[in-house]
Amino acid sequence: MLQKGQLWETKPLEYYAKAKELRAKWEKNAENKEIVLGQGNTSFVVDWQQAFPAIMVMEDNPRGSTIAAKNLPEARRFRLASESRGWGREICGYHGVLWGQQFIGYQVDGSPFPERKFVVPIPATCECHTKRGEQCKDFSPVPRWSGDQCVYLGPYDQERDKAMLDHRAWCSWKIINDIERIFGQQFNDEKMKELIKISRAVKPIREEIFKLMTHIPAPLSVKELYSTYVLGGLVKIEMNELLDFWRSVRDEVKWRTENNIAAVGTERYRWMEAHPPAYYFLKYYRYMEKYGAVCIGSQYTNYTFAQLERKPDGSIGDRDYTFVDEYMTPIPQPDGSIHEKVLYHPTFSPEMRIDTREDEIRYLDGASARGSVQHFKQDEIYRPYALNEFADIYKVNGAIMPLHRSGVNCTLTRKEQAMRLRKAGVSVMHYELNQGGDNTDLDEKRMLEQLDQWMESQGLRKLED
Amino acid sequence: MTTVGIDMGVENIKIVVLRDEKIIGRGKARSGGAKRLAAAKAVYESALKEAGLREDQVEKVFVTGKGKFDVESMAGDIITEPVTAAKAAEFLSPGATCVFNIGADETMALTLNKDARITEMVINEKCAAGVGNFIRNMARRLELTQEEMGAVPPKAKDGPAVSDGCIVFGELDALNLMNKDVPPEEIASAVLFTAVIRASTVIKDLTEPNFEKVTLLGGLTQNKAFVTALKSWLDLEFVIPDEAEYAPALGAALLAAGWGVKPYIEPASAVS
Repeated sequence: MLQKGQLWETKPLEYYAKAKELRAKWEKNAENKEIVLGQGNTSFVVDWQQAFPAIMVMEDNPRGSTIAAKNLPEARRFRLASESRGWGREICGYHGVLWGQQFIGYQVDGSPFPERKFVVPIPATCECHTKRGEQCKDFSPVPRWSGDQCVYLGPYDQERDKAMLDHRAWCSWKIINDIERIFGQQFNDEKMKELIKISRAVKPIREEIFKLMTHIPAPLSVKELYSTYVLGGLVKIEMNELLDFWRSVRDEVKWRTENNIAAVGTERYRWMEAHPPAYYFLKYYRYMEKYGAVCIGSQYTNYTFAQLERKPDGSIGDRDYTFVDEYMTPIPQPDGSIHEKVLYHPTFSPEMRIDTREDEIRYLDGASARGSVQHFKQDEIYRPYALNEFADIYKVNGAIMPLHRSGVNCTLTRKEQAMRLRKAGVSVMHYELNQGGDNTDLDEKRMLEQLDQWMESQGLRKLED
Repeated sequence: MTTVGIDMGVENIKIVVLRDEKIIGRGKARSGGAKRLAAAKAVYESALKEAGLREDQVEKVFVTGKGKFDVESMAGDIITEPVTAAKAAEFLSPGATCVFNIGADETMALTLNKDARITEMVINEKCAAGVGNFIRNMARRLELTQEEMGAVPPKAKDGPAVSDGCIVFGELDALNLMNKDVPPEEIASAVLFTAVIRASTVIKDLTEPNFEKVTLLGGLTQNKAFVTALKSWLDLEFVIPDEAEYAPALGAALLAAGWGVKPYIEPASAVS
């Protein structure tokens, strides 16, 4: 029986329990005394740490955001501990929270903070990402490898592109060899080949899910996605479990779309985000649902492993990275989209044959550099257009675009992005905050006011009124 | 039909009593600090008195403005500011294509379509908040009345300037100028120029503005010097209706009366 204002049937997600279990297992694994625990992110594409017998690399973001979401007073205490040691608002809020635990010595649950033995931050051009893990290195002298993120300005240059990829492969090669040498663990090349094989199997499954996400009503909302999309990305889990998990998600999402089972039963307005939310203020998703407005995702949730694009025949498919001369100057179309394709590394083939360790590493870096997460890093060039394409593919009416006062460089070109979205008929609301893990600059009351103003200006009233 | 609109502004409470599309009573007073509900009730009584009505003769009361939740007990409905501004523009300035509503706290720019529906809305970020309050506070510091503040000449090209990136910095600069014995009127011109720049950042955020008929509403319409400087800076002509200051309250009263275009989409019925 549908309730007042409800348009669609809805049902709790069955895969959610498994997602929680996998996440808990990942966190628990950090306490395993047998493993060498590092900080950072090995790769979004292939989790190469698993080719070592007992190495675990833990990313800060999921931990920092969870603490901010679930225990704000402790998050503040940890952040202050970081700030008083000179780690201010130039770093990501998640990191301020997470590393504050290290400085204080205990975690949010009161257990001792598991110290990291090394640092491998994910390479990035973004200014604050390059500082990742510095707090850990400051605290105790541990090795830190920050592979270079290679980008250049100007027209596409095949020679330069090849040289960059060669250099990236050299960086990864060195990191893996150094870890072998320092920690006395053997990198298992056969295991690595198996990991690549599984990652190749996971990718089309995730693409299928995010194609299904274009359905009205949305089978999943961003609330579910923020707990799910990190599995296999920032939250490294065993690869076979990962494959099984994403298969189960795909099957459930497919069933939901076939039966019009909505994430939010009152869906009548679809909105998107461009970035992770204010984790300490997640109630704004529920608040929007009072208007029948559902957040269908963001580039973070939907595009991390599967970038979609609208094809010339109108269909939706995986992004085609075809070479164009205007690499750095894509030409906007009158409707705000681009039809030029952006090429990252044409010298790389995702179907390449893998025989040697060098092949493994070239696959790892080639796949990583060739899209996937790179749309986050090319802010001025690519993201403004990708957002318009996202809005088109996911049929959104509106967008909420936060203006961060610090932390990662996410707010670069934000206003221009908003203008392009508005030109494409997507209503945009901004709100100001410090960063997703740091509530310093968020005015909760004002934000709710803005949401009311925005929704009413869109012709919507709260359904409960 | 007799309705009342209450605009619970940050600086002032404004009330309009409307009967059959005619304003028959008004009331205005300072917002009243912590005793906002009592202040609103007092203004309400005086507006009813002017209209020659008793409370039981009012059919509906709608409330808008930043302090709208402070008077929830008086409200038949609570409406957000963009909607009341659009409704007021529809009534006061038919065919308005763009609405700027600039008050003590908030600056808002709206684009309206031919049906008077909002097609785009921009509201100030924090660093452009409090433009009206800034002018009032600076007038007090400069020992100028609001009338005197509204009559200062435009800022001279080579005249003293204050920061236009943030009104807090602007205020510090103004104090610095006072300490250097710069004439208050010159400082006031610089202050107004800064207020214009902050308000303009909101207006310039409109992606596809239609400046065919720009209607200016809100408390700052009463400051002639500000309006002149804004016109000059944006190179625009404004329609400023007589009731511009009372526009949000009027919009609320009109909505209470069900006048004009329906601002809200009816919720679709549930599927069976």
